[in-house]
Amino acid sequence: MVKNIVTICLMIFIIAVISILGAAVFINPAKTTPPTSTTSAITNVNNMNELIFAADVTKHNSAGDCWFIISGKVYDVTNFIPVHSGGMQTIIPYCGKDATAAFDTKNGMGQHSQKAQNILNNYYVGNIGG
Amino acid sequence: MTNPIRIPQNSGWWIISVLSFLPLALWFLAGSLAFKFSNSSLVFRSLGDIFGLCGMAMFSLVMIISAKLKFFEKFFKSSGELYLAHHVFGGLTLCLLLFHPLFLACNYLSISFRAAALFLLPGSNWALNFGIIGLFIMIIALVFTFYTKLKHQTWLFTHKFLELAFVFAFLHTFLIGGDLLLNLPLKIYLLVLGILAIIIYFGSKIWSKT
Repeated sequence: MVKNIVTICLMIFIIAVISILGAAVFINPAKTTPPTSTTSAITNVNNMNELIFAADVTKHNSAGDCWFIISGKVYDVTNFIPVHSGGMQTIIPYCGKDATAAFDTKNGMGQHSQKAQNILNNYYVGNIGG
Repeated sequence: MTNPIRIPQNSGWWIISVLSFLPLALWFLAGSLAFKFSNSSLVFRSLGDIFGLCGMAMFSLVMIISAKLKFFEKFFKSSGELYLAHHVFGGLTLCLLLFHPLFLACNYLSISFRAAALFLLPGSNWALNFGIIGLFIMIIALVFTFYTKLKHQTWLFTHKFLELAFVFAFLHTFLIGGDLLLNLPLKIYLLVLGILAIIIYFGSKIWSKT
């Protein structure tokens, strides 16, 4: 009985891992979800020089619609919250706010890696313009 | 007179089940449930957390009962049943821990297949690597347990690698950070179970050699 359950779980695990690894190799690796937000008027901002008012950022202040500012740049991290390795609850308090100090010091616990910086860049939506 | 407190003979099964799934209750009590299941990405993240937390609790309990202390036999009909419980819960632990990275990887699919694949592979994050190494050792060791017919001494040798898997899993649990760090009751519960497992299991090994 236990052996059967373990066998089924192992099969599912192996098939799922092979599928994900295979998909990563064979399916377009550049498939990255663009930053999206349901409540904002400033969505799908592709222009890297887009200026966003600080007052607009403060409107995106929930876990379901989360923007924040780091070093004068605005990021829409709504889709990133669930996958943040430091936990969701460490990001959510900064939604709609300036998170520069928290990001630079990893909430007072050190420094983010270059990899973290690169991930953050994927969520960039524009610069603070007022 | 020798045994003033009567312990029901099958209570061991219930005690291990309740203690293994207690993290589920602690997890549900902390934070908004509506948020934790508000979109598909968060559902996968939450399921990944639940399977990991319950799996780690069960792993600790399996280690504790595998110390084969006479005291634990009081909770089972016989030492044979204690062994059976160890076997059953050991298998279930593997199942829970197999689904832990799978659900979290599904969560990463919201970014890309590449992100999900990178999550499943070792990288620069050592806390994550400990989890990957621990699970890999556990899978190999339990494949020997469930699917091979080795000589007892050889089997015992392969089974000993589960001690290593537990140490890696323990390190992974407390170094990975995340929401576990912010849920103090859950953190304390898993820490106590893990330390108890290390003390009782390794303590009994050392004690039996002296």
